[in-house]
Amino acid sequence: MIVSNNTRVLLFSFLVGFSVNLSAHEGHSNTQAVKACQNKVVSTECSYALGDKLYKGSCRSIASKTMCVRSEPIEFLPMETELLLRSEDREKKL
Amino acid sequence: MYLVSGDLEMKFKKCVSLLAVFLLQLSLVGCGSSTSSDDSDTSGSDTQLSLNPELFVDGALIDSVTTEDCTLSGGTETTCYRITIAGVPANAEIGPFCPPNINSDASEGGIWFDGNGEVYDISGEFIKNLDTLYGSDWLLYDPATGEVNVTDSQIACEAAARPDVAEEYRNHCVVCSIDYYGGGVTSTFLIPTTPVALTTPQDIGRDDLGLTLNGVVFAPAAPVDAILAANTIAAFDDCGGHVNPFEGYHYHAATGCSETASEADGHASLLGYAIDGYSIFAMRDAAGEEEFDLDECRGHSDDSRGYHYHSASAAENLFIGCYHGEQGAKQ
Repeated sequence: MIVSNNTRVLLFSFLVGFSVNLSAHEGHSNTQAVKACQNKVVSTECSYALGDKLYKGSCRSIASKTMCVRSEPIEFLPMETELLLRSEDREKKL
Repeated sequence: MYLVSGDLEMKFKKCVSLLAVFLLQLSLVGCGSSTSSDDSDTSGSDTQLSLNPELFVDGALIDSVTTEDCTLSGGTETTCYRITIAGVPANAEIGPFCPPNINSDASEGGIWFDGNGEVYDISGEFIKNLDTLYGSDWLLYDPATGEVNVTDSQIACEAAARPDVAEEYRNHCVVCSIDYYGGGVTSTFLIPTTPVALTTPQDIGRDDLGLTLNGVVFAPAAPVDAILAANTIAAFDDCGGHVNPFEGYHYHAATGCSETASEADGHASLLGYAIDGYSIFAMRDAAGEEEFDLDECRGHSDDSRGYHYHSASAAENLFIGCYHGEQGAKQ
């Protein structure tokens, strides 16, 4: 039941490194997949989180929109991480 | 918390298992034996699965498949199959899409996805609660009767399906009957008989991506931005398809309806073919697992199939990420 500090650091670095975005249905069509590739060129690694799911892949242009296309299996985030991301996302907006 | 450490532990064990399998394979090669590795990345393999006209479901094609000379998108001159699909699923009924009443259960409606990670069953309850999902200006039913606002004529469907939705059709669940369009819009594809790989993948535009074994087109991502901007839901049926005036019935998601045969080795089922001639398979294999070595197009190679794609989930509102090969054409 206990997570070591190393695990926390690893998890945090991983999530920050992949510029995770969080959705609370702020937008509509594939919003988070598009946001994850803002200011990124095609083929750059990307990721985004939606609810408890983490999507990781590469930026691709589809119908003239650059968006994150998942190439790795969907990962399920533990609830604590999801809450942490939501809180960080809220802080960024303030 | 437990899940984090448990997950890491599982991944560590998986890595150790994979390493063990890798070492075992090395030892077998050293002994001159061969072993099958169905989904390892073997881009050097000579095997390349190409379109097999015999795999289409009865009724999916309206003409026999023929072969002709063609020039692919990259300028390669080769031969292509000419395939004309019926434009309606040969193995399933179309619909339902919108429930008639807010008391209707999920079996009376289809599904909805907006690319933001969820696939919703369109029950009456879903229609009733759309304001909590998309905003207080959403009201797709008559509060006095509970009846859902559904486009129930060709005029209504076409007025609601265009980009500038008429005011009177805002806050509607949009349905277009395939009967308005002759029972199905046929499409003819030229698909390379042998796929020709590109040196760099090519972007997907706004055109259809390919065709399914049951006679329907794979459409690009549904333009849910525009649909939601008009306070409308262009409902999909449970197969992930819907009808519009231009293309008739088309798929925006893979939900299993075009999986007509399973693969003997437990690999994900074949759904159909992309316009570049590579096969598109379902997202998960028979054991429910996803592939772990897909490229940016959502494709990879294995010994049995060569290069092929795996569809994304319905919740992602897309099938594949780019084209690995030179494309034929849709006529």
